[in-house]
Amino acid sequence: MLSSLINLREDLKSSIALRFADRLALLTDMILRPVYVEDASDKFQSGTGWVRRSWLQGIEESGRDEIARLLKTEKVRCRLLSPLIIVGDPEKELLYHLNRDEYSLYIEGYLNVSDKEAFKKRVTSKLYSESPCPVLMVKNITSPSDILLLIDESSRPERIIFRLFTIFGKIKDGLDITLVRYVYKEQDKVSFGPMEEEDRDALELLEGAGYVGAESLVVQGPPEHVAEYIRDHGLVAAEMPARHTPRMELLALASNPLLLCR
Amino acid sequence: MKILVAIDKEEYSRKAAAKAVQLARNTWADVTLLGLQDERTSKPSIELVEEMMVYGHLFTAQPDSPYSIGPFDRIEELGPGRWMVRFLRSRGRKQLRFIVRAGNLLKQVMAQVEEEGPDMIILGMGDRNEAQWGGYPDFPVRVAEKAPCTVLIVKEDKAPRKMVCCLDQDEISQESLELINQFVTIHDAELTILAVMGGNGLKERVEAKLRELVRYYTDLGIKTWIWILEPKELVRAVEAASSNSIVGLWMGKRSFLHALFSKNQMEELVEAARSMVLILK
Repeated sequence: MLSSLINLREDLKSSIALRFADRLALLTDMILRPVYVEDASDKFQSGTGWVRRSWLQGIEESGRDEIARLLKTEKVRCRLLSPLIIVGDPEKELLYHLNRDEYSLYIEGYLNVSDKEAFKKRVTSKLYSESPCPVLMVKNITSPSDILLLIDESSRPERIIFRLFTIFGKIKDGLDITLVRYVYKEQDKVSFGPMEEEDRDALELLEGAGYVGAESLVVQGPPEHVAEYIRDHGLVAAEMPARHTPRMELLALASNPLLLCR
Repeated sequence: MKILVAIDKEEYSRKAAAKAVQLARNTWADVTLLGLQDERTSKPSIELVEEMMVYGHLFTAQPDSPYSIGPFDRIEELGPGRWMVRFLRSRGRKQLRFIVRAGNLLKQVMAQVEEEGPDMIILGMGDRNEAQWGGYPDFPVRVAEKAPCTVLIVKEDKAPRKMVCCLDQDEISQESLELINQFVTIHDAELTILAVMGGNGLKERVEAKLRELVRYYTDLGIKTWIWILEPKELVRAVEAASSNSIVGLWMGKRSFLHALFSKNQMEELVEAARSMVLILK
């Protein structure tokens, strides 16, 4: 059984992440481990012994209470492990736990803001770029069975397909998969191009993995128009963007949850 | 719920009446059809009354309709420039009244609002190059500005399957939440909530309200999208959405949408909208 680590606090992005993760977990028979992270990197505690222990205990209690309240409010139905409470440098600590406990997925909410720089900063962060598993960045609550595989000229579709298979592997029916090759073009609207040879190979790979009936499109246009065009899909799976490209901009502007793979 | 439908003799009023029928049937509202004529005369326009009766029959057309109109009885004068159309044996479970007022359109609507305290006003709007509202094309926007209740401006009665609502404060009435639910359900639409950031990011109370909204609509099975914007991006985003979505603006007392949307921008927004604009209060 797959297990995922989901970063939660009592806030809007966590509500959104949890609700989507619940849908995904029920679909894929996945178990979720909530994690509450207290960033203590700038709260150096000079106290020792019982002072420090009391402080840590207080954080642990308030973290558990916050997660308990969130879970009660959101009424999730999937299976949950007991929460992990982490105090320290968030990225360092999360990476440590992701590596140590071999999670299949790391999930966090991300408010769908129009700030592309903030998105770029997040997806090129240490956590994202060194994560041993895919990162599910949840911007909105959608249906996870409608998947769009987003590639461009620099993408390696086989990596995304492998990760998809790891997460969705047992499910063959009931998934809608569309392969979209994105080509940047400065124009007023979205247009469509001819399928490329590599895309036929990707479709064959998908078929080989058991995902029969996947479609393929070449979509051309500026990122903002293409982001609107792909909005109806429940989940966009793509390679983790490492640098500022039109694909990164498209992912920044997309309202869909993003499954980012390395 | 009480709905006031302001109408005249033009095609956009038929669309507004059709929309009012849909909403009234779903909400079991008491309805007043308010016929407006800008010329002050001693009698109501017969053409207008006839048009109102056609619209009235839209409400009673369905077999299970809670509204009923009996045979025409008389036109009763309620006061100078005010009349009520009376029918015999009207025994509907919900109220359907026909009032005609003559004079300055805005003053007459506000007077009727003062008298009966509706929860919502519905009125139509044509294209700018059409003759409308007695040569007063900004009338619907003026009503939206002045009315203390929610106003729906109808341009087309076939709604797109998207609704975009703007939120910048946490004072949202339960009635407005349910009204949006009605719109989304009637049109099988998905809902996008545009939330406006303050200087230091999303205000805590606005974020808490957004959480509540996401939970409320998602639990009802309504596909709900959240998009967080800077104030300077909001007007452009709403204008872009208005071409293919129903637009809802939560403009409560504490909202600064009044500041963001100047009078001209509101007029342009309503003019650019292809479907409907809902000003929620």
